[in-house]
Amino acid sequence: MLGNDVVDLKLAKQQIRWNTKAFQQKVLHPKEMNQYNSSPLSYNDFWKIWSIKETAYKAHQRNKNHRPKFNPFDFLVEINSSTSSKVILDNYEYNIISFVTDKYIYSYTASNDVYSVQNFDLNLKNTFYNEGLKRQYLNNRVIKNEYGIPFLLENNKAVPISITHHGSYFAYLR
Amino acid sequence: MKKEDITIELKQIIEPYVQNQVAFENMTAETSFISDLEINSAHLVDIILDVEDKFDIRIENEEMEQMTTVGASIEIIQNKVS
Repeated sequence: MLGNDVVDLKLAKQQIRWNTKAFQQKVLHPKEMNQYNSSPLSYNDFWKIWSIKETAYKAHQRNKNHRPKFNPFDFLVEINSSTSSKVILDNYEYNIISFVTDKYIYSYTASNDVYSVQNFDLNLKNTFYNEGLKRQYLNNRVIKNEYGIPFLLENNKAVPISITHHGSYFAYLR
Repeated sequence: MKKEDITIELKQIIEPYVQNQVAFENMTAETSFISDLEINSAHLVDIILDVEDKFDIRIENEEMEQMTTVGASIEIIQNKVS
């Protein structure tokens, strides 16, 4: 499994309708709403669950190799703790770690055989901080398949990679 | 409602969220909101809400799932407003 997603909490303020029920109902399943005391969800709660869903979507789209869909509803998030959550879909189980600060939220599929590189520091196992990391660094080495799923070209091999970029923050997982 | 009219209205709705202007100017039915127009996925929710308001329709989740390209969106809207 391979998926990651970063939310720049400053840029996400542009989503002026994030705190309306109409907006959140398009994204969250009623079961998810019920896990929280407040409806609509608070700013950080909402964007955290959003980034978990995006992470699970990327991992799942790669597993199933399906054309792009916009189905946030299908990814039912079970929150286990402040950093750990789980999404189960079509017999796949995605364990996701989320890192929340006042500037960004970063989620990724947790596994021993993958590592994350970011332009922000996480100080977690299997993560690497590269302050100068730029999207352009990957651009000419990344190819996408017919459904837009990315791979990194390395030593003439196409290695699965998950890329996320929002506002000031950029990360990839492989 | 004619397809051409829906297309004009839809273009107005998506314009504020588009990041790739060249792809927007060369838009076809196959144009993807995310990979071609580089619209941030959270803005897809804005587009769905704007479509609901503008055409006075309700988009169900199964329909929303398919609304990732211009052509698919026009078709769904057309079936609803008929």
